[in-house]
Amino acid sequence: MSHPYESLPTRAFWRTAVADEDRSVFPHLYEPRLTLLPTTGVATAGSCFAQHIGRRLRLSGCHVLDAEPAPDTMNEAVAQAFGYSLFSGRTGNIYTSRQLRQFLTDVTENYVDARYVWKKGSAFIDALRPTVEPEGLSSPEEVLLHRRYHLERTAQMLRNADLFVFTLGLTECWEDRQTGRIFPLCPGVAGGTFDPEQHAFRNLRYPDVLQDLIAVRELLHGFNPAMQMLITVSPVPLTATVSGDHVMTATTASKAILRAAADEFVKTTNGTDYFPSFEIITQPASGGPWFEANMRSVSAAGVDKVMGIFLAAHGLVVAPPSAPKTVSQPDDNAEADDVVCDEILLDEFSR
Amino acid sequence: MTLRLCFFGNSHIAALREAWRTNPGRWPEIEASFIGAHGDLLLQTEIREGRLHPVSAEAQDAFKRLNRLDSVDLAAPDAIIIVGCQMVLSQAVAIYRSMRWPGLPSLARNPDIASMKQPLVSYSAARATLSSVLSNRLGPALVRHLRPGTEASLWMLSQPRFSVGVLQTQKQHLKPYVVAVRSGDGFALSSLFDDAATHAAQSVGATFLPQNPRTYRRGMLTDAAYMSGAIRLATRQDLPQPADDIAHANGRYGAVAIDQVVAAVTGRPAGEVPELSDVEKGGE
Repeated sequence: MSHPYESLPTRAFWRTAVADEDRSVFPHLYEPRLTLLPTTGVATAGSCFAQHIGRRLRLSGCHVLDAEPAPDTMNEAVAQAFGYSLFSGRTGNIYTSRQLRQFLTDVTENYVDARYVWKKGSAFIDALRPTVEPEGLSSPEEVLLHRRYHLERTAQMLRNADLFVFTLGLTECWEDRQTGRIFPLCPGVAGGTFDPEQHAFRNLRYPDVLQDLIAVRELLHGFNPAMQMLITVSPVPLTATVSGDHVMTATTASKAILRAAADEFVKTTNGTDYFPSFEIITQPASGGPWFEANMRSVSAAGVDKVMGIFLAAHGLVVAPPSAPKTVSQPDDNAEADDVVCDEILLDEFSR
Repeated sequence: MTLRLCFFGNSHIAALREAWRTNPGRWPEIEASFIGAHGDLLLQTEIREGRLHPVSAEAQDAFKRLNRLDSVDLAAPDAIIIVGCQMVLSQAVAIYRSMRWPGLPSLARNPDIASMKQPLVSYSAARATLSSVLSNRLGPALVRHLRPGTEASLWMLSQPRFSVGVLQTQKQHLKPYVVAVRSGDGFALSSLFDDAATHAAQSVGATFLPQNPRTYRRGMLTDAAYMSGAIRLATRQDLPQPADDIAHANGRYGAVAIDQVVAAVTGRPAGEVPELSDVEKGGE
């Protein structure tokens, strides 16, 4: 008696695809639907894990676009401190689909909202990317000058982008009750003042994320109608949750929503794909553990594994990470691979 | 009480040594010694038993020929002043070639900043970049080198800005100076440099002494009156610089600089710098 399972490929069966497979390379785990060539203009954005993707793509000879490249006289330590070369623009971490959607709307409309300037001591910072200027700026006008430049440069960059790689990080976020504007960090953490009358906790649900991704795709097509999207989900757990749940439970819920929305988005749209970095890091079957001792930061070996599988699937050379131009003082507690993770600021409040 | 000051420097120390030689009695509150050597020869030394000894043949030759010394007692001075040693505005001009930041008049006039060849950065990013560059130059390196051998306060005196003669030059590598001056960005560049140099000096435990603004012209150049007639750091103390030298200051500048050092080290207000006559201002 015949049935559909008889004709399935080996990758469809756990035994042949996982248990008996060479799990160091997972040859059929990721079969790209999109083409990535060294000439493909790649834009990256997302949570802190996305920094690994952009960096390794550059090292592997991919054409990773940068709306605001660091000046050639700026060394790597200074550049990183000021948010250069981490993503395809000085966006800082974009943790949620809603933040990306709002950002791309601003880029499209060249809209600079003067309300989102925060005080930080005697300085001023951009509430929409609060960590890219560690010392802050001298006036609200200067914040807006830099934001306008950021938006205009991003628009120029996106017109040359063939592939947009976005790493979904979180569902939890904080929004302005009046406007619905999402902040990358809770007001008061890296600047500004938290006001419960003005700021509301928002935990995005599956329909929210899915609708955001659909809107993001439309916005990107406004810059290049042929632009493709590659979605990943960050395997990095939440630093903290305001959901009321245990942080591990909240992490699972958040990642499940993101993963499900990514799946639905990719299955129902053309020119999109999903890369399973989340699975590679979090599935026990893939070996590991791929986390540092804090069980949160992905280890360098974990990043190597993820990017090795990704690049090999695209027929690209796997390049090892290079040493920075100028090495800062070593720090035994440094986050793996020098990733800038704004969300870790919340950890300060756990003591 | 007389303060003992020890000046270390590259070729730019010649201006101060000349001022000291030609103005006897002008600074009764200090005793001064001058140790000069070209390039990075001052780093080709080692500290043994509280004294700085040259170790390379070139450094030994420079100590003997230019300073008539075999070694320097680092315990003797109350203050050590590093003169010049690449703490110079040209480092800021290199930064200026690669970025623009708010505060530059030329930026304020630009209607399309997003299309500029140079990226827009914040002032603090520009300062951090420049400070990082300066921290690796000869002056801070020398401070780090000397620090273990002395308890004296350490100061870094700015190298003079280039002469106004730079505006007449045809040398391609100096064109950014012309661009900056003609764009009206000179004062802002000077301000960034002094700020970054202050940070760089602080990072090695020294205090930066900026060039006296009274000696500037066009915000970022040195008046010809303080540059013409400069002499070389050489055994002969009357050997003039080449006519096209735009980098070295004269004894008059050296006197202003020593005034500034003495004021800083003793904590008293700096004396008035004599106004230049109109004739002397003719270099602008």
